[in-house]
Amino acid sequence: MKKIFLLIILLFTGCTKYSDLNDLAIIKSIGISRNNEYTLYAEIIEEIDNNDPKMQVIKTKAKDISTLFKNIKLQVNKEIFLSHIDLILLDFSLKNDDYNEIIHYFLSNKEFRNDFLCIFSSNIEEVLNNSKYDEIEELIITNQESKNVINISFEEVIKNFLDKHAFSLSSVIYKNNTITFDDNYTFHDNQIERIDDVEKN
Amino acid sequence: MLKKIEIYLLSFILNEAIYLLFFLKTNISNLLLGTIISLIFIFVLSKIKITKVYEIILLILALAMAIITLSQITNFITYNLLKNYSSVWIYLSFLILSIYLAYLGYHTFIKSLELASYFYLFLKIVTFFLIIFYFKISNFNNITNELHVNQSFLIFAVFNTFIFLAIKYLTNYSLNKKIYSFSLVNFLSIKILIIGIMGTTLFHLYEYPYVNILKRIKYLDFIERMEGILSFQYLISFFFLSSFIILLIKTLIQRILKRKPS
Repeated sequence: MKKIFLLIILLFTGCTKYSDLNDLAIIKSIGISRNNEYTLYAEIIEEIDNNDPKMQVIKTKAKDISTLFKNIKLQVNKEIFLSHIDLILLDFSLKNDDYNEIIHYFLSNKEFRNDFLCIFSSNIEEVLNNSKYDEIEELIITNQESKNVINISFEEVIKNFLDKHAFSLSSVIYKNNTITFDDNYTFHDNQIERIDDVEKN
Repeated sequence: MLKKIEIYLLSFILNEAIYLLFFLKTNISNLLLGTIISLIFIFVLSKIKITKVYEIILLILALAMAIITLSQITNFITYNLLKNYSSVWIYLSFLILSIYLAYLGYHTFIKSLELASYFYLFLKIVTFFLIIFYFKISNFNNITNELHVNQSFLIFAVFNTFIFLAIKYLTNYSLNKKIYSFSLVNFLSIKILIIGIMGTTLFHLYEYPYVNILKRIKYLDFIERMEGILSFQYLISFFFLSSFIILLIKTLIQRILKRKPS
């Protein structure tokens, strides 16, 4: 009797909810800016080769954050996979209310891990279009030792923003055909200020 | 001696499960006050002779506990592990398994607990050594919020009392102060560890901070994304809690109906 019962239970296991890898739009990096409405840049992995994975940058605009991600899904016609995000680029145009909305969306969506790297950028589209796979992350990690770079996760940024309404990040730009560091900036009270020494909040 | 270890293990795992499911966000002062109140309740109630009325009240409490415990466990699994899976099937699977273990009787239950406890303790030790390096004293800056007292200490006292009385009812073992203090030290250490890693702001923001701290584990570029396997320790404690409550319900019904329990 027990064996029959176990056999029946085995029939309940299955692959009904499986997702084929090709049906997923795996998002590697995102960038958010605002100019009357939000603009989201999502770097999606198209093909993974051993040497050089192919990436595609999708741009969407919307009045709120949740619609941005829905628009990506409509554009690429695939299920978006958010748990693989490694990097978020924040534009200087974002204000306190925007950060509150972003943080609220990221915390309420259980797919986000929030352990990804966080940096500023004034030209997100060019940076994402011209960066290679993991280039920005490696740049931050290798330069962290020289102590000029702030290597901070999005979760720490949330914590600093909610505790002190301020946080400091490094900034990257696309200049002279390369991705380089710009400087370190602090966001505080809707203002962006350049900081001279690294203050790791 | 063996019985003493069993009781310690049982109370440790059950209390931790109750704490993680219901009282993780409770302030430290509420925990301390609730433990003191529950000690008074236990002292008073353990002097009462076990009558049918006592058993009926315990049964009603156990039934309520079973329902809310299973729904909290389902919530935990749906939120952290099986995000796209229907919660009904998770609830039913857990319920059927718990009923089956309870049906096999107390001795099978305690033997299963002992066997599972090796894996449970192994995961606990591994988790501790993986996350302790993220501990920072600076995360205790806003700790004064933990000193406020509100009415949740009463609810904690009720749950704590229920579990200890249930253990005493099923095992006939007279509980001592060491077991209570053991549980309290466990609660406080869990809370201090999580706050030390996350800070009080994030601790109160996340619904399951004890799973979120596991997401931070990242060593040598390949030891990462281990929250799935490491949260198995919580599943073990939750499963044995639900089985224990159903075992209690089964024993109470049998004794109320004056049949010998198996």
